[in-house]
Amino acid sequence: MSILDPATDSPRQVKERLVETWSDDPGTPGFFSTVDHKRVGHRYLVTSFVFFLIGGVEALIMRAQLTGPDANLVSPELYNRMLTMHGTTMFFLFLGTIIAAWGNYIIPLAIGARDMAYPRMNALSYWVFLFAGIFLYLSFFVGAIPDGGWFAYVPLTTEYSEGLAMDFWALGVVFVGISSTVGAINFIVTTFKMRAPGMTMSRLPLVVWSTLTTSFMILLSFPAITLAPLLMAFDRIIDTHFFDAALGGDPLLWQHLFWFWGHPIVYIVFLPPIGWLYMIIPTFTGRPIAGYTWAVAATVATGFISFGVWVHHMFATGLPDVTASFFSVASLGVSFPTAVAFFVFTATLWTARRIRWTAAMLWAVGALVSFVIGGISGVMVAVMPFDWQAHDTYFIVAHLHYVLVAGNVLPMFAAFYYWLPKVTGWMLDERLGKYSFWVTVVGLHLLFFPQHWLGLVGMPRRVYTYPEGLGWETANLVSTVGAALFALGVLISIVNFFWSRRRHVAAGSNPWGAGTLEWATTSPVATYNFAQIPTVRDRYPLWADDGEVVADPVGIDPQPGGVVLAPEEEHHETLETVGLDARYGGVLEMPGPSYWPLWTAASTFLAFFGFLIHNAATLGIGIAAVIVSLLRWHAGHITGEDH
Amino acid sequence: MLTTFASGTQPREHLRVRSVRRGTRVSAVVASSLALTGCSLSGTLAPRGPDAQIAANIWWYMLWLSAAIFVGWLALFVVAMVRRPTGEIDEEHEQRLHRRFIVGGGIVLPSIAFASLFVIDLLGIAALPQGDEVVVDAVGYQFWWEFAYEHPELVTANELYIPTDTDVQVRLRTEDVIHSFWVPQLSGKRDMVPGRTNVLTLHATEPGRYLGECTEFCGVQHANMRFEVVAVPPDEYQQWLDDMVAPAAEPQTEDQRRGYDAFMTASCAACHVIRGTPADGRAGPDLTHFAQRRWLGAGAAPNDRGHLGGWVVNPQSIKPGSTMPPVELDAEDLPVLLDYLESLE
Repeated sequence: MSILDPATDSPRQVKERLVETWSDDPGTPGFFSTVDHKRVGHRYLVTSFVFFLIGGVEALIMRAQLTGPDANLVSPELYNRMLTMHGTTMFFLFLGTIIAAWGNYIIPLAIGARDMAYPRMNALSYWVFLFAGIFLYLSFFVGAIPDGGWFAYVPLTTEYSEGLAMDFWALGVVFVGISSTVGAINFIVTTFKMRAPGMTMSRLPLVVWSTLTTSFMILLSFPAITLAPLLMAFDRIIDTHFFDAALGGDPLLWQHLFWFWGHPIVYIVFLPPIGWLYMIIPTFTGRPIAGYTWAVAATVATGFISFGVWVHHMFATGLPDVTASFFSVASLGVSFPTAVAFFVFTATLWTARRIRWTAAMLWAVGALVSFVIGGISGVMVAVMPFDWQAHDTYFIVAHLHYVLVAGNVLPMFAAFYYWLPKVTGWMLDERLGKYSFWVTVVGLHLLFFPQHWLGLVGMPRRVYTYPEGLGWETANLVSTVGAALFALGVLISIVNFFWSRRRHVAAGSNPWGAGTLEWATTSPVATYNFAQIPTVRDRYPLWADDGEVVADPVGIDPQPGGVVLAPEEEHHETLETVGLDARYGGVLEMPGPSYWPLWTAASTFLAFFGFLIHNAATLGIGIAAVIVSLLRWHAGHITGEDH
Repeated sequence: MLTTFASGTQPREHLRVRSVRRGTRVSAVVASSLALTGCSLSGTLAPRGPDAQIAANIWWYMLWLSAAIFVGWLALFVVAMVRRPTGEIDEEHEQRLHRRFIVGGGIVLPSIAFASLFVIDLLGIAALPQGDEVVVDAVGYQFWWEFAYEHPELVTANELYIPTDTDVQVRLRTEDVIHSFWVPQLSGKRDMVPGRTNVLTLHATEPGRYLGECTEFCGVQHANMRFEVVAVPPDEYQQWLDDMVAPAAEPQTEDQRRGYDAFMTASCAACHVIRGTPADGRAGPDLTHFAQRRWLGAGAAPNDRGHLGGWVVNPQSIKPGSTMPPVELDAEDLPVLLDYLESLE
C-alpha cells in the first residue's frame, strides 16, 4: 500500500507504475491469460450478442414458416430443432449472459474497485460459457440438433428421443450452469467486499443491488437446472428411471425441477436490465432516482417471490386445485414489486427539470412502456380459469416475449448506447440509434401484440404449421412482418456500431454528465480502473448538490494524500472494505493473469464430451485434467511464485 | 356478472343463462369492431359451455381492467415526460410527491387488481362444472386420439361424441409422451401425463362440431394432432351409441370384397381394428366406422378419396413423422381398398 507522497512520487510516475502493474502481456499470451474484468466483460458482450443473433436467425426461420397456413418452407423436424435451439440459445447463451456481461464490465467500476473479487474465477466463468456454447452448437456439425423443446419435457426427451440430440442439450445445459454459478459467487463477494470506502449499502448503485439480488437467485435456482438435466442424462445414457412412470419415476418431477429454475430465471434476466434503466434514466433527467429505498425493496422482494410461483407453469398438469391456487395467488403478488418499480420511474420523470432525449433514453423509456404490457398479461395468466385457456397458446408466446424482449433486449440496447462509449472510448451515432429504436420497437409490437389474439382464438404454441380457415392467417402475417422490422432495427444498430467506430468521435470520461463512479475514469477505462481509489460520500458521487457534474471527477488522477496502491513490486492491489457501511478493511493482493482458468474450462469440455459419446476414457482424462488445472491454478498462488 | 359464480342454489344454470347472454352482447360489440380487420371471434372468445364461459368472462373483465390501468398509467407517464417543473427544487416536497406516487401506484393500485382477481380466481375455480353424468376415456398417442365410451368395444379415433347439456367427464391418459387435451370453445386444457389419469368435465350448451387440439409439445407432428368434439342432443347421442356398437358393414360389391381382401392381406390389419373382421391390430386407430370421419391423420387432411389414396400409399408425404408406415400395395388393389374403406359407414 502506498499513500502518494508528493515529495517522492510524481503523479506521472505513479501512473506509469500502475500501467506496468495492471497491463496484460501483449498479444496472444495476454489474450488467453487475462483476468481483467473489463476484457472478460467485453468478451461476454461480444459472445452473448453473437448468440443473440444466432437465436434471432432461428426465430426468423420459424416466423417465415408461419407466415401463411400449410407452408412448406422448412420440414417439421427442422422447425422443432429451431424451436428448441432458439429457446435454449436465448435463455442459456444470451439472456442470462448479457447480464453477466454488463455486470462484469460495469459493477467493479460502479463501486470503485479495480477488479472483481475473484479475477481468475471471472475468467473461468467466461471460458466455461464459451465452451458450453460451442458444445451446444457442436450438435449442428454432427447432425444431432436438439429437438425436444427448450423445456425438454420428459418422456419425449428420454424414452422417445434417440441419438445424441438431447444428450447435447442435457449436458450443454449443465455445463453452462457452471458458468452462471461461478459468476454469481463472484458478484456477491465483489459487492460485499470490494466497494470503495464510504459506499454504504444505501449508497450502492441500483444496478449493483439488482445484480446482487440476481446472484443470490442464481445460487438458489441453478442447482435445480444442474440436477434435472443430469438426471435426464442418467436416464438417457446409463438407463436410470428417475422420470419413467412405468418404473416408479415421475415425469412431473422434471417439470417441478425445471420450473423451480425456470421461473426465477425470468426474473434473473430482467432484474439487472431494470437496474440498467435505474442508472440510465436518472442520468438523462439530471436528478437522483426517486424512492431509492422503494426500488431496492422492490428488487429484493421480486427475488423472494420468484421462488414461490413456479407451479403457475404447471396449472394444467392436474395438480389439486388447492395446491395450485397458492401459486396462483403468489403469482398475482408479483404485481406489487413490479408496480412499485414502475412508479419509481414515473415519479423520477415527474419531478425531472429537463429530459435529454438521447438514443439511450429512448430505448430505456421504450423498454418500460413495452414491459408493462408483458407485466399485465402475466397477471392475467396467474388467474387459473383463464390460464387453463391461455396456457401453451400464442397468448403465452406473446406474454413471455414482451417480458423478455422489453425486459432484457431493449434495455440491452439502451445499455449499449449508454455504456459503450465507456467501453470503447468513442460515441455511437445518436441519429442512427434513434432510427434503430423506432424500427425495432414498432417491429416488436407488430410481432408480438397480434399473438395475444392468436392464442385467444385457439392457436397452440410450438406448432410448425396451421391449417387454413381458422382465421389465423392475418395475425400471423402481421407477426412475420413485425419480425422482419425487428431484425432490420437490430441491423441498423449493428451498422451504427461499425460506422461509429470508423468515425471515432471521442467520448471523454463522462459524456452524459452522469453521477455514478464508472464515469469517474477515462474512456476507454485504464487497465487499473482508478488511479486513486475513490472515497464515496453520496449516491451520485460525481454530482454536486445542485445536480451539476463535479468539475474534477475523483479517481482519474492520483492526488497527493489519496489512496493509490501502486506498490513497487507490481502486485495487483486494491482495497477491501468491511461492513454494510464499507469501512476500510485492508489491502487485498489480487491474483494476476493465468492460463489455468482456460485450461480448467477446456478440460471440463473434454469431460462433458466424454460423457456425451459414452467414452469413459475421455471422461476420465477430462476429469483428471480438471483436477490438475485446478491444482496448478492454486499452487502458484499458494507458494507465491505466481507473482 | 362475476358474482354469479357463487350465487344461487343452482349456480351453473344461473351462470349459463346470464353469462351467455352477456357474452353474446360483448361478442357482438367486439365482433363488429373486428370485422374491419377481417377477424371474427372464435376459440376461447366464442364459448359454448360454462367452463369456457367463465374463462371468457374473466378475460373480458381483465381486459377492461388492464386497459384502464395501462391507459391511466401511460397518460401519467406521458405527462411526467412532457411537464417541466420550474423554480427552486424543494427536496422535501419532491420526496413527499415521490412517496405519494409510489404508494399510490405501487401499493394501492395493485391492491385493487390483486383483491378483485383473487376473488375471481377462486370463485371461478369453484364454479367450474365437475359432474360425471357421462364418462368417456381419452387416450393420447403420438399423434392422434382415441376415445372410449361406456361400452366395452366402442372406441372412436379423433372424433369425440358427447351429448349436449350434460356434464361429460373425460378421463385423460396417455400411451406415450405428455399430450394436452384442449377444446377452446368448451373448456380449459388438461395434460395427459404418463402414469396418471387426469379428469376434465366437458359441457356443451349447443350442438355443433368443436375443434380440439393437442397443446403440449409431443414431437415432430405435434402441430397435426387435432380432433373434433361432436356435441349432439342427448337422444341423438343415444341413437349414435346404439349405431356405433354394431360391427362394421359387410362388403357389398365385388370391388369392396376385393378391397376387404387387400386390407386383410396387406399390413393394414396388423395395426387397425375393424370389429366383425379378423383385423385386430391395436397400434393405430379403430376403423370400424371409418367412413363417418371428416379428417385423416388427426386433422392432417380431409377424408376424401383423393387424400385417402395418398394417405394409404404414403402417410409420410401428408404427415411426415406419423407412426403409420407406407403401405405396399399392388397398383390395382388401391382403388378397391378405397372402395372398401369408404363403405365403412
